[in-house]
Amino acid sequence: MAQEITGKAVVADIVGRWPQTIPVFIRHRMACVGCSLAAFGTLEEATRVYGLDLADFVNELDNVIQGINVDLQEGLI
Amino acid sequence: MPEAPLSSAPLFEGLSAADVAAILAAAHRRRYGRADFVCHQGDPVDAVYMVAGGRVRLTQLEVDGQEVVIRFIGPGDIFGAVAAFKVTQFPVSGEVVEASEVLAWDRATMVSLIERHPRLGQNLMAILSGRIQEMRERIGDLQTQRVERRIARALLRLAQQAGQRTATGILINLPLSRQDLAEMTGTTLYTVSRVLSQWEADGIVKPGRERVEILRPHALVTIAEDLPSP
Repeated sequence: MAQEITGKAVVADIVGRWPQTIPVFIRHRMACVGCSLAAFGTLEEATRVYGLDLADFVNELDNVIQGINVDLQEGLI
Repeated sequence: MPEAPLSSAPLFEGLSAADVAAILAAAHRRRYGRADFVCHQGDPVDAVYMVAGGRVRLTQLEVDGQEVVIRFIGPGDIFGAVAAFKVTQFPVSGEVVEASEVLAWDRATMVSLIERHPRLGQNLMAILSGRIQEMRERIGDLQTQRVERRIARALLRLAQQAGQRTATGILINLPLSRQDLAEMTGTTLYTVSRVLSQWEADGIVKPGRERVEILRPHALVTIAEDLPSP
């Protein structure tokens, strides 16, 4: 499953398919969740805009999708 | 503290050196250290203040608890000018950011000085007029921001419905005139044109003939949602 995500993946697809990734975006203070243009932007573009490392970010998403990271609450209010 | 620059302060414009000396002599002088407060928001405005030396930061606490810096007051600048004309409360707090000497004329003193030196009253009004002008410009900026947000949101909605990914951005793939956008956003053709031209210059959109391409989607979202720039 992990290898499915690449920088070319569209943000809305990721969030729609794996809603558990939503907190990852929120934790990085990204406005992607619910953004009307999320269907057009790739992870590569989103991380570039927010000055994040793509590989690290994809890794975080992978971990969440695989249920590895259980520390998600930390980023939520 | 040298007073030579104070005589050229806008408050003293057109007054003779003797008049300025008399006005300065009528002031109370107080020294403040860094982080001291000259006034607190909500306190009654009891005097007209002039910074003789140093620097005071005027801040306002918003309802959400956010502190907003209104302006910095340096040597020769005044605040609390309204005290001469109206009993009111400080809309701001004045925090000393550089050790300062502050002159203060209480209301009764300032009123009698104005009676003796009408030019002083005229200068105070000129200073207050300048502040009003500044506020009007700020309101104008806010209105512009609101219109920009509406136009940005309209483009986002259209992109969501009819957007098409291109090599350079997102093309809103429907015939869309500037007049359409003006009607969608309750503004004028002129305003839409002005805003789109500005965004084009900023590389955010590429307006074509009845077509708009969004080149920097995130920049447009930032405007529409009033987000801080990442």
